[in-house]
Order: sequence, then structure tokens, then C-alpha cells
Amino acid sequence: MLFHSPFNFFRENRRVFVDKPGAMPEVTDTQKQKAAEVINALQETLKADPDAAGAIAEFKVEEADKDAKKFQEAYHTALKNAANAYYKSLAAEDDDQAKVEKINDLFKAAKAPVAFQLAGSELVIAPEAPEEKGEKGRVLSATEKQFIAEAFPKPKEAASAERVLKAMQKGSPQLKVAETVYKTFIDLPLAEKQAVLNNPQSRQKFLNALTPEGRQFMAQLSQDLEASSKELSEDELEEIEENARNFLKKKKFDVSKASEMEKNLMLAQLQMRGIDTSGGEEILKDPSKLKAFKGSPMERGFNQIMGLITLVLLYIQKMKDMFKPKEKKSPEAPAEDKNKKGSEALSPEKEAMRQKLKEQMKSKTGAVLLSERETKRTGIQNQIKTTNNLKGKTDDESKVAYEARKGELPQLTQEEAQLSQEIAMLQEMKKETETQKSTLTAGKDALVSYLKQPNAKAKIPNGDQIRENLEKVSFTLNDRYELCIRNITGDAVDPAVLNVLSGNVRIRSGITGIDHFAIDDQGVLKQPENLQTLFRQLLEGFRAEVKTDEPPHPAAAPAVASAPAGASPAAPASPKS
Amino acid sequence: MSPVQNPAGIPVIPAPKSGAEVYNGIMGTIEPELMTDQIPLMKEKYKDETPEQKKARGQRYAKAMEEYDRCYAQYLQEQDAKVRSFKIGAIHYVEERASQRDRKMMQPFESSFGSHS
Repeated sequence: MLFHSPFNFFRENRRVFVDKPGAMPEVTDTQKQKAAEVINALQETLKADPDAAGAIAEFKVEEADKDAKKFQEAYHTALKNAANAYYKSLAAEDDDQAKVEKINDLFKAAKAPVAFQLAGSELVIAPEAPEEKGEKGRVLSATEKQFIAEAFPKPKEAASAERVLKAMQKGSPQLKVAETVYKTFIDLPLAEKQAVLNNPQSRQKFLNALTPEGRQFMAQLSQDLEASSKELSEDELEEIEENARNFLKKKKFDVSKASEMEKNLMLAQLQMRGIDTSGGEEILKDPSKLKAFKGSPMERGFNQIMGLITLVLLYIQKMKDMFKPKEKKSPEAPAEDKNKKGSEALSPEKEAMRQKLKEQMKSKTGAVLLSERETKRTGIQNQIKTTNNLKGKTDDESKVAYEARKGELPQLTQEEAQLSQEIAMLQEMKKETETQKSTLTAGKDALVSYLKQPNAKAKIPNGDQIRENLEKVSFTLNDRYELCIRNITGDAVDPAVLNVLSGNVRIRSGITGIDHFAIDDQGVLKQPENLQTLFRQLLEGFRAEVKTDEPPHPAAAPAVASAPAGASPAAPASPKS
Repeated sequence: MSPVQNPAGIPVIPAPKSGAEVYNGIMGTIEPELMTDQIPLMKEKYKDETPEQKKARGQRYAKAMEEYDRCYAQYLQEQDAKVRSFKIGAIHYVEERASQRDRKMMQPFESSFGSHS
């Protein structure tokens, strides 16, 4: 079996993508997990807001895009490995270039979509455009090439080393030191070379034998190599920018017509795609100014995650804005309400009606008010119907009765319209609160499941305590159609539970709004994440819906709770009342 | 799961698919309304829906997204298997070629042994 030893890998059962391809921005597992958690949270949001589907779909498309590229890369790697195996079997024949040609002929005959070239001692896939653009620096000597081939067996490292060495000026003192180091290494016997490469102690021994300048050079080289191998190449940067421009084009985004929210959503999506969005909306006005975010793989990954998180926060904000007109009832808010446009704003008449109903709900439950009005409306509708039926009749009795009743018709019609409006308003108030309840409940549930995860347990001080107490509370509608917090069984919430929650959770405001979420003073999470998002949503819910409307002590809740929500009115109003 | 082979013997690399193609391919069978070309039409289509209908739709979408995640995980596994199979096919191809080459090189010697026996 010719290929016995080089083909050991083919029996391996490992996953295809152990190494990330160079073209991909490298995102750590933790960051990936955070992204997945945020997406899970967004999927929870989806239950209350189907408009969030767009953002989730985009993320999934992006994810599929990256995976598709990785698969293509894996196919190419498989071809490259096969080519290298064949290359090694040609060891005794021809020179290197002739071997490469032979392999390329073989693969060409098999219609493989790639060609190979030598990099160090290994074949790599040749770029489609054979001329490397913008190649800078000097031509490497044969010794340098040999040094690279022997000291950097991995093609990516070899390419990075080549870039670093090429950048050294001809005749510079640094290059002289470097040449001494190459020579020392090349002159080592093969076994020692291998030991230097693979064994830390032998490497240290090799370094100790060098001059101080030589050691300094090696330290610098390692540092440069590390930085160089992690940088994105010009091509990769261009690809990111081009993809982002295509994305903008596909979206037909018109910055002149977009609202602030739409602009921010678009910026977040570009950030998710690896774009530097620090320039703000300028890049939306002129897409030629789009630049890829530069930095270490971790910084690049973090930039993308931040984009995703911003997107989630914006969608939640958007969703909360939808609730706003119904929430803002306090005297300090009316000026803002008046400035709202379209369906978001309540007309002064409706606003007054809502206040009146809220006032009435202090003495009667929402259900009673609704039922009273429905009964009254039915009575009035019957009266109107009866009067209208009399109109067409020809007998004297009916004529007299119609004449006696017709004067009431305009008032009855007006009363019916008023009642219909109030019924609609009461139903709307109930539905709004139900939606808020389901949003907050979904947020709470997602948060509880997050806090159950082992990594959250390790990361969040008092995480278990917070989770246990969250599990004890539920959101309900009270009889005034307001959202309030109760015990999970529906009874008044235990004040101790709320104390634990509010004692453990703090929100801090920063320049960009709420940018710090803290659990205890020691546990400040420096990065926003789904936990922050959900807690923010949850606590804003507490604040806006519970703490402003409810008495400060949760113990007051039972008084309202004791009124039966579905109680029927004591006496149906008479049609004429 | 053996990959398609071209007449010359080497496995064929499947045509690259964009993320949108993959996503739409899967989502199209689950919830066509969530395909990328349909999402922008949602706003207009559902402008008159009631809060209950909206909530029900949200829940339907969330379920669809969960189903997508399951199908996508399966899709990744299939792709993984195809890549593994491709690796083996590529190796077999070069191995076969090398054996042919060696047989060719050995032929004169073998025939010379044969003629003396």
C-alpha cells in the first residue's frame, strides 16, 4: 500500500472543522455561545413580536453563509491533502517544479477545480489570480526560503514568516542578526531541528545558544508572526466591505427616508457583518466609506457580537415603543404624547376616556365596567331596533308609539356610539396588558433557563438565588387591567422575594443608555448580553407597570386581587337608566 | 453517502451555496412566510391583524425557527458526512493513480522476469 503512512488521517473520525479557515473572522466558543444565547432570547421575543423574524432570519442566513464557506474550504483542503500525499510519493523523481506540474496535470485531467503551488515544503492551492497583488518587500534569499520551509512547516505560518522576513530592509542590522539565526538553525542535524520545533526544552536550549540579539530577534519574530497570522489580509478586508455594500444594496436602504431607529438597526446589522460603525450614519450616506473592523480576532468577534446585541436591544426598544402610548399616563407625559403621530398617539378625547375609565376602575373592576357597558349597550340597541320596527307599521297603535319614541332616537344612537367606544377602549386596555404580560413572562422564563446553565451559574454571583426568586414570581393582570407581579400561585407576592431581586439587580445608565447591568456590586457584567437584555426588559416592566401604579409595598396587591375578576355586575342597568 | 464522481474518477465538489439559498431551502418547507424574499412583505400583509392574531403568528414563527434549527443541524451533519466521503474519494483517486504509475514502472521488469522463466 503506497500511501499507508501519509493516509492515517483518513481513518480519523474527527469533525471537519477543527481549524477555522483563515478567511473567517475568528469568534471564540464563548462568543459563539453568547451569540446563540442572544438568538435564543430573540426567538423568545419572536413569540410576542413576529416582526423580529427578519433579524433572526438574517442571523441564520449569515450563519449558513459562514458554514457554506467552511464546507467549501474543507473540500479544497481534502484536495490539497490528496495532492500532498501524491507529491510525497514522487519523492525520488524530478525536481520540485516538475512534480508540481505533474500533480496539476493529474488534477486537471480529473477536472478538479483547483491548481496547486509549493509553499515551503507543502503544496497549497494556488490563488485564482496567479499574480499576488501589492507584494511588498525584498526578494528572499535561498537560505531564508530554506529557513522558512524547515522552521515553519504549516503553510499559514510559512506565509506569515515570509511576510515578516520580506519586510526587513536589505543590509539592516536586524537582517544580519536574522541571517546568523537562520544559519544556526539550518546547520542543526535533522533530529535536533525537529526537537527545536516540537520540544519546548530543546527550543529553549537553542535560544540560549544564540546571542542576545539573536534571542531578541526570535522573540520579535514570534510576536510579529502571531500578529501577522491573525491580521486580516487586504483581500479579506475587501471581501467583508464588499459583502456589506451588497447587503446595503440588496436592502435598498435609503438613508434620507429612514427613521433614527431604522438607521440604528441598519448600523447594527453592518456591525454584525464585521464593519466598523464608529463613524455612525456617514457610512450609510456614502457606502464607499464602509470599512471593515480591524483588530485581533477576539476584538473582531466582539465587535460582531456587539452588533448582534445592539440589534436585539433595538428590536426590544422598538417593541417597547409600541407599548408606550398606552403606558404614558402620568401628568408629566402629555406633551410627549401630543407629539406622537398616527396610530401611536391617542386623541385628547380617547385620552380623556381612558383616564375616566381608569378612575372608574378604582371602585369597580374592569370586568364589571365592561359587562355593565355591554348590557347597557344591548338594551339601547334593542330600544333603537324596536323604534325602527314601529316606523314602517301602518296601524294606529304603532304610529302613536313611533311618534312617542322617535324623539329619543338621536340620543340613544349617540349613547350607543359612546358605549361602543368605551367597550372597545376597555378591551384594548386588557389586550395591551396581556401582551405586556406575555412579553415579560417570556423574558422571565428565558432568563430562568439561562440562569440554569452551568456557565451562567459560574459567572453570575447569586445566580441561583436570583433564579429561585424569579421562579417564585409571575406577571398577572389585576382587575384594573394593569400588569402586576404576584406569587406564582397568584397570591400576593412575598416582599422578601422582591427584596432579593431588587437587592441583587441594579441597572446603571451610561452614555448610550443603560450600558451596565449589575448583579451585586462585585458582579458587574462588563459586556451587555442576553441576561442584561432580559433583565432590562423585566425590570423596566416592574418599574413602568408595577412600581409606578401599585402602592410601594407589594403587600397591597391582595386588596385588588380579592375582587373577583370575572364577577358579574350586581344589577344589569336598565335600558333607560 | 458517496459523493458524485466525475468521469475522470475524482469526486465532484458540490456547487457552493449561499447562506440565503441554504436558509430558504430549509425554511421553504417549514414556513414559507419566513423565506428571505417573503419577510419584507410581512408588514403590509398583516397590517390589519389583531393583537391575538399577531401573537399567534409570533408563536408560529418561533416554532418554525426551532424546527429550522433542528433541520439545519441535520443538514450540517449531512454536509459533514459528504465532506468526509469526499476526502476518502480524493485519496482513493490519487492512490489509484500512484498504483497505476508504479505498475507501469514495474512492467518492464516483470515482463523481463517472465521471459526468462
